[in-house]
Amino acid sequence: MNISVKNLCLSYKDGLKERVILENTNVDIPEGSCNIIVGPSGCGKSSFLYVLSTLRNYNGGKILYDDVELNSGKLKTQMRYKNFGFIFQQHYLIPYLTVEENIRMSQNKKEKISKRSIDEILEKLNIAHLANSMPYKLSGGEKQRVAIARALIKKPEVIFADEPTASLDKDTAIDIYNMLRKVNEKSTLIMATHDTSILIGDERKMVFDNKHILADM
Amino acid sequence: MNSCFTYFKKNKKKTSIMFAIIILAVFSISFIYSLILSVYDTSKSANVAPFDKFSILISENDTVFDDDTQKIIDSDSSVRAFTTVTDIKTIFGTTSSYVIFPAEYDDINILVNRLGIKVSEGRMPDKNTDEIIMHTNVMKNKKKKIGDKISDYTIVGAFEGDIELSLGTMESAKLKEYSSSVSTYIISPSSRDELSSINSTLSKINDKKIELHTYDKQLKSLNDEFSSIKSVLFIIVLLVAVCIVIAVAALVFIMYSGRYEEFAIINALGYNKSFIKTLIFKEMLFAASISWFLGVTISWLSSVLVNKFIYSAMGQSMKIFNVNSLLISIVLPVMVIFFSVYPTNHKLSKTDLISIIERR
Repeated sequence: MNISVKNLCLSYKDGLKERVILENTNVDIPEGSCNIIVGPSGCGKSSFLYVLSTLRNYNGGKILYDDVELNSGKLKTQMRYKNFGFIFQQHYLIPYLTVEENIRMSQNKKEKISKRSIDEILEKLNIAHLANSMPYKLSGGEKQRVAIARALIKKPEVIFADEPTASLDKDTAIDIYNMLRKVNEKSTLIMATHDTSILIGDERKMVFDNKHILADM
Repeated sequence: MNSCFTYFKKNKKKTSIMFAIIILAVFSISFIYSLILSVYDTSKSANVAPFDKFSILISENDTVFDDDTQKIIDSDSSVRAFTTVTDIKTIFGTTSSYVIFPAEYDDINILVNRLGIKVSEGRMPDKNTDEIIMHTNVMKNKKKKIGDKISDYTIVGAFEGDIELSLGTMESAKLKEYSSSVSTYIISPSSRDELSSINSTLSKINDKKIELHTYDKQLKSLNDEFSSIKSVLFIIVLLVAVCIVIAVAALVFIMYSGRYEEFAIINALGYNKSFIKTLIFKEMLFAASISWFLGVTISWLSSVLVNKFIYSAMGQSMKIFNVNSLLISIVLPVMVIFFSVYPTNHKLSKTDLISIIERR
């Protein structure tokens, strides 16, 4: 899926004032690319990610998904359900469900995820032995791997990751990032992070600051 | 995606508290209602049911009717003069069972035939004696057996069946004394259709000193007596329901407030708020229905036990399955669902779920 951002404007109400986050931002994200959004805290990288992933609305401009603009909430939730995978800074695993049941959350009644595909993805993430464990028994890194498994199980076209390694130690962060890259290579990855030390070097970096993309490299 | 059972299956402790509250409330309402309605049923068996086979005409005129009334009475061979009808109070204040003392001894056999009474134990009363036969339920209720005395009368026989009353004979001098004060006519035709036809004829009697007691009139009188009890009971049920509903709704509200991160991630994964609201409704529908079913079942089992071990021994009637108590118990789950789901879903509508993930 190609994503095209044209003259995107985003602002929030901050009390009585209007706080502008993004101004006339233009960017094209080709299918299968690995895109890293970097920049200082509060520069709007997460906001940009949330807008791109349809979790937030924007104030002006256009975002086209394969040349189609999503105009309704229904279309946006459908897009999220069918084509997007999400990984957040926190794992957001449901505490009363096992690892396998948490992964199954992304399935609906009609399209059942097979046990085999869950085993496969857990194997790839080196957590196959935790399939029946409860989240409270897992370490931070293991929880985040489960969150990745939940995001990737349906083989989404685009993966959105918002600071997925922020709460992890350095080694685990590198490990998690590498897995994220390796497990679903065909998907487009759009990741916001402030930690560039985990990057491999082949990524496209979009540097955000002062309401604009300062550098796209 | 999870079904509406998953949360309850996986959170047994929280679930059991909520279920226990609803089950207890449904049980209390249903069981208390059944107990109180059993008083009504017992009263109905004693006071109303016999009037399915006869009516009673009572005159304060020393058997002297005016000409018009006499014509009506004479026009129908079913109107027979029996005296006297008295009553024996049963253990509950509002229930009483009739005792019929025919003026002529031969009339007791006519009455026994008309009412379909078959003496199952003992014998029929003798002429010019103070003897009675009783329905077994009345005997149990009064804790009497054949050979015992009730008031001045000796119980000589027992019978079973639909009509819970007693029939007796009096010593002739006493009978004469009773007959002189009030005249009572038992109208007991051979068929029920005939009874309603006679009732409509007799209802035309326009004399304030003559009272006609029919099935409908007795039922109305009983319902009037119980209407205030039923109203009070309904208010109690409503108050209990409101208190329980407040407790359950608060518990449910807190329970769902702790699940907002779950809803936020579900929403982010591509399920809209309507889906989440439907899930909440289904969960509460499931919880309330199961709790209601269990509460009603426990109430039913308790009624069976009370009826078997307490009421039967007392000759008391109790309907094990009572539609009214079933219907009144439905008030609770309906209110629980409404007052739990509405505020929870209202809050959900107002909450920006994505902001929970964003941590803004």
